[in-house]
Amino acid sequence: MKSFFQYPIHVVFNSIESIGKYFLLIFLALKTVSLWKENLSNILNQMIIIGIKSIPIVIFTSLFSGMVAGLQAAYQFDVDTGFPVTKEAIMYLGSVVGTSVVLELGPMITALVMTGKIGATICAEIGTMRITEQIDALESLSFNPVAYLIMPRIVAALIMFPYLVIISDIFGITGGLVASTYSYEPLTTALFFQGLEIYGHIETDSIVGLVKGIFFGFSITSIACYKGYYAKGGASGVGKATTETVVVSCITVVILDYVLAAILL
Amino acid sequence: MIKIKNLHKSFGNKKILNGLSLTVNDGESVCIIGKSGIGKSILLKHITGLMLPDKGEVWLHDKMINSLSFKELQSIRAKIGMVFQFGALFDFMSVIENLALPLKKLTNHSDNDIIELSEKALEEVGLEGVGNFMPSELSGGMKKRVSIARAIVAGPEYILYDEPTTGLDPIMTDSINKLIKKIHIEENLTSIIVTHEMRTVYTVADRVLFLDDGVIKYDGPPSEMKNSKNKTILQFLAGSSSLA
Repeated sequence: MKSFFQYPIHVVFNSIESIGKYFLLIFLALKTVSLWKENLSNILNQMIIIGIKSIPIVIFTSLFSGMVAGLQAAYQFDVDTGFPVTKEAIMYLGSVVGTSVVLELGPMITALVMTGKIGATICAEIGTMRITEQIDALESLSFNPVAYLIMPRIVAALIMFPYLVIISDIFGITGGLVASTYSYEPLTTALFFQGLEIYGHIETDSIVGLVKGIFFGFSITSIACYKGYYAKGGASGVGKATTETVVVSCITVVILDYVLAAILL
Repeated sequence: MIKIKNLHKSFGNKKILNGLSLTVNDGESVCIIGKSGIGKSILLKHITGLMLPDKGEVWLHDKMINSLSFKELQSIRAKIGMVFQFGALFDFMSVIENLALPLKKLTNHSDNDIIELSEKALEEVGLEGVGNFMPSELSGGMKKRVSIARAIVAGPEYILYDEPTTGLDPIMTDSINKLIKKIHIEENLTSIIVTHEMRTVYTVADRVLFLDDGVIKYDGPPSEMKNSKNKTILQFLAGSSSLA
C-alpha cells in the first residue's frame, strides 16, 4: 500500500531530476561550442553522418509523403459539389499541396525519420561508450567528453537539419505535383505552380518550416545525447535508453510542432 | 606520491569505502586486492578524478584531486595513464588512432612523430603491425596490450591498471604480468594494479594492499601476506569460499 502511494511521487521526483540533468548537460554542451576549432573534424564527421548520409531516406520518405498529400487533395477536389469548377479553384490545389508540404510535411517527416535514424544511432553509440567505459577513458585522457561527443553532434544537427528540410520540401512538392496532376486531370503543372505562387506564401512558409527544422534537429540530437550519456545497466540499458530516445523525441517533436505553429503563424 | 586520507564513498545506503587511507610512494608498484565488488575499481576512479568522494581527500603530488577545477584536473590527468578492465578502446577508431589520440591532445608533436611514437608504443607491448586493425578485430589479450600502449604512449608518471588480466588464459596472464613489470621498470613509473590474481601480485608488486569493509586490512610485502591473522585474507590466498 505504501509503495502504491510512493510510486507516483517517485516518478515525479525522477522526472524533475531527469529534466534538470538534461538542461545541465545541454548547458555544458553549449558552453563548449567555443572549442569548435579543436573539435572541427568531429563536427564535420557528424555533419556527414547526420546530413549527407540521411539524404536518400529523406528524399524517399518526402517524395511519397508529398505524393500522398497530392493524391488526397486531388481526391477531395474531385468531388462533384454541383458548383462549376473554376480555373482559380483548380490552381488552389497547388497552393494546398505546396503549403502543407513546406509548412508541415517537410519538417515533420524529416524529424520523424531522423528520430529513428539519427536519434537512435546517437543514443546507442554514446550509451555503448558509457557502459564500456570509453567515456571514462576519454576523460582519463584529459578530454572533455561533452565537448568531444555531444557538442559536435548538436552543432552538426543545427547546421544540417535546415538543408534536409529544404531537400524534403523540394521532393515533397515534386511528389505532390506528380500525384495531383496525374489523379486530377484539370490540374496541369503550370496551374499547380501558378496556384502556389498566387495563393501560397511559399517564402514565409519555407522560413517557418526551416525554423521548425532547427528546433526539431536540436531536440532530437540533444535528447539522444542525454539518454546515451546517462545510459546504465549494460546492453539492456542501452536498448532501453534508445527506445526512450525515440519515444521522447517523437513526443517532443509533435509538441514543438504545435507550439512553433502557434507562435510563428 | 599518491596520498588518500579518510576516503568515504557510498551508493545509496551501501557503503563502499569507509574511511580508507593509503600512501603510494613514487616508483612503487602496488597491487590492490580484495573480493569482487569491494570497491577496488572505485578507488582507482577516485585517483583519476573520475569519481568524487563523499568525504575525504585524494592527493597527487601537491594537488588535492577532489578540489580541482575541470581544467586543473585535465592537466593532472595528463600525468596518469589508465588501463581499463575491458580495454575501453574507442571502437570507432583504428588501433593507431587510439594511440595517437592522447598524443594529439597532450603533446605538441607533429603528425609524423605521433605516428612514429604510436608505432613505438605498439612495439613495446609486442604488437607490431596491428596499427590499422580495428579493436573489434583484436583478441582479448591484444586489446589489453593496446590499452596498455595507449596508457603509456604520452609518457605518464603514474599508471593505474584495473584488473589487467581478467578473462585471459594463464599464458596470456603471465605475458601481461611480465609486460606490466617491464613497463614499470623501463618507464620508471609509479604503478597501481587492481587485481584478483595472486600470480599478478607475486610477479609485479613491491607492496600489496588488501581491501575489505571499505578500508585497507593489509599493507605490506606480498611474501608476508600468508602470515596475516585476518581470516578473509587467508581465505583469499587459499582461494576458498569457506575457511575451517
